[in-house]
Amino acid sequence: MNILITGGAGYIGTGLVAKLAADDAVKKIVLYDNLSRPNYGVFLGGRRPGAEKIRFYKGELLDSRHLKMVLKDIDVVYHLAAKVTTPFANADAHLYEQVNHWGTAELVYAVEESNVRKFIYASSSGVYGDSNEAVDELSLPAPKSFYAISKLRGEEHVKRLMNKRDTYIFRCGNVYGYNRGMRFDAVINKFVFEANFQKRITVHGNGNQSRAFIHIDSVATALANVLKSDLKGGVYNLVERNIKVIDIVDELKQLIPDMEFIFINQHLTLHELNVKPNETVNQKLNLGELKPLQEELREFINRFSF
Amino acid sequence: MTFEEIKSRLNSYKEAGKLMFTSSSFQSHSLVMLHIISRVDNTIPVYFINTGYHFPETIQFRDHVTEAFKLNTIDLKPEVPKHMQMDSEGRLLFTSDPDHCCYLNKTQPMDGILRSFDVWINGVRADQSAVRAAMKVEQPAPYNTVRFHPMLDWNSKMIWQYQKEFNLPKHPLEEKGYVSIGCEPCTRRLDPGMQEREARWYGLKKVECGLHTELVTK
Repeated sequence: MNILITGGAGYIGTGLVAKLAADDAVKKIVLYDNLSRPNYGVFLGGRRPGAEKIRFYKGELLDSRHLKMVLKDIDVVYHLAAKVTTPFANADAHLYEQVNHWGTAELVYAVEESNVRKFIYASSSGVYGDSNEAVDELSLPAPKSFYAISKLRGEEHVKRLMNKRDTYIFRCGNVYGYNRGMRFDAVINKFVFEANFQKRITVHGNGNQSRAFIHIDSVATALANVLKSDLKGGVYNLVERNIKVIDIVDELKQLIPDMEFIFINQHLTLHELNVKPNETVNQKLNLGELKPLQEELREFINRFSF
Repeated sequence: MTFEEIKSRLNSYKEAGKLMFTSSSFQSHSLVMLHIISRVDNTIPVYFINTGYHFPETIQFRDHVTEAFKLNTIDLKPEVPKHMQMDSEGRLLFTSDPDHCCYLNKTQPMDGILRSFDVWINGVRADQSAVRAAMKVEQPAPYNTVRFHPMLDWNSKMIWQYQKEFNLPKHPLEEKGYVSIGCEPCTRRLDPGMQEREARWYGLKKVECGLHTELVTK
C-alpha cells in the first residue's frame, strides 16, 4: 500500500508517519508539504524503523501538476495540509480560503483522476462554531472563524468523493501533546511550555471557556487505524474530552506548584465548544483507555530537555 | 431554430466531415441545448470547462446530467496550476484581475480545444447580453473554425417550455436563489432588487468571461 500525506511534515503528519512506517502493509509513504510553518521535526531524530519507505516532496496544494505526479501510484491519501493559526483565526479570510478550500478542491480533482481508493481528510470540530451543549455529528455546522469556514468548505469538495472512493472526514478536536513536529501555539502545548520554562501561564479570556481536545498520539493512532478498521466512510468527530481552560491550568498547577497564571483580558467570555466523543468511532479506531489529563501532562513535561 | 432545424444542421456538418464539439457550463438553462444534442448525436464531445473554482454542486450536477443524457462529457482543466495564478499580494487572481483569471482558466484551455475541431456548437442566446445579441447563427472563429449558435433566437420562455416538456433536471443551487451560476468566487446570490446580470462579477463592468469575445472572429 502506497500512501501520500499532504501536510506530512506538520504536527499530525509527524505522528502519523511514525505509525504508518511501522506498518508492514505500508510500502511507501510520501510526505507532501510546502514547509510553510516551517517545521522540520519529522526529518530529525535519527533513522526510524521503516525509514526506507518514506519520501519527501516539497510542494504546494495548489500545484495541480505536481499533485498529479505524486499521486501516480498512491492508494491512500491523508489530507492534513491546512492554513492554521492559533488562537486567532480571523486575520485574512482569503488565505484560509486559498489553502483550505481551493487547495482541497485541487487535491480532490487530482484524486478523481488517480487510482487512489481511500481518502482521509482531517477537518476540525471548529466547523460547529460555538456550543455549550455537546454537539455530535448530527448537529448543524455553524463555523465562526475564517479558518473553520474554510475547513467546512473544504469538506464540501471532499464529500463529492464519497460515492467514488472510501472517504473519511474527521472533525478533530484541538490537538495537544508532545511529538517532534509539535506546535506551541495551541492552548495546552503553549501552557505546558510556559508552565515548565517561564513558570507563568498566559490565559486568554476569563478561562471558563471549554474546548474539545484529542491527544496527538490518539489522532495519529486513529488515522493510521482507518486502514485496518471496519469503520465505514463518513463524517466523524474525533475527540476524546472537553476541558475548560481553567481546568488545564489547575492540573498544571498541581504538577508545578510554584507556577503562576496571568489573565490578559479576563473581562472576555470567549466562545465555548463542547463535542461529544464518538465512542463507537474511538473504539473502532482502537484509541484505548483515556489517560487522566494530569498523567498526560506529566509525560509531556518529561519530554522537555530541562 | 427548431429541433428539426438544429438536427438538420448538425447532420449536414457531419456529412461534410466536420469535426464538432460543444461546451457547457451545466446550468439549468444550458441543459436544453445539451438535451437536443443528445437526441441527435450523443457522441459529440461536451467540454466542461473545469476552472477549479466551481461549486461542488455544479460538479455533482454535471455528473448527474452526463449520466441521465448519456453525454460524452470531457473535463477541461487549466494548463496553469493555481499556485502560478497569484497576484503580487499572493492572492489568487480572482481577487484582483478576474479577466486574467478567466483567461487562464477558461479562454486559454478552450483555445487549445478549438484548434482540433471544425465546429463549436455554442449555446449563447441573444437575450443574454449585448455582446451575444450581436452574434450570428454561424460565425467565424479562430483557426478557421465556425461557431454554430443554435439557441441564438431562443428566449427564456422557450427554454422554460422545453425544460417542462422534457422534465429536465435543475441545478441544485437554483432553489437556493442563484440565477446564474459560474465560478464560485465571482457568483453572487441575488439580493432582492438586484438584476440578473449582477449575479456574476457583481460590481464590475465585466459581463463576459472571454469565451464569447476573444474566441470569435468579428
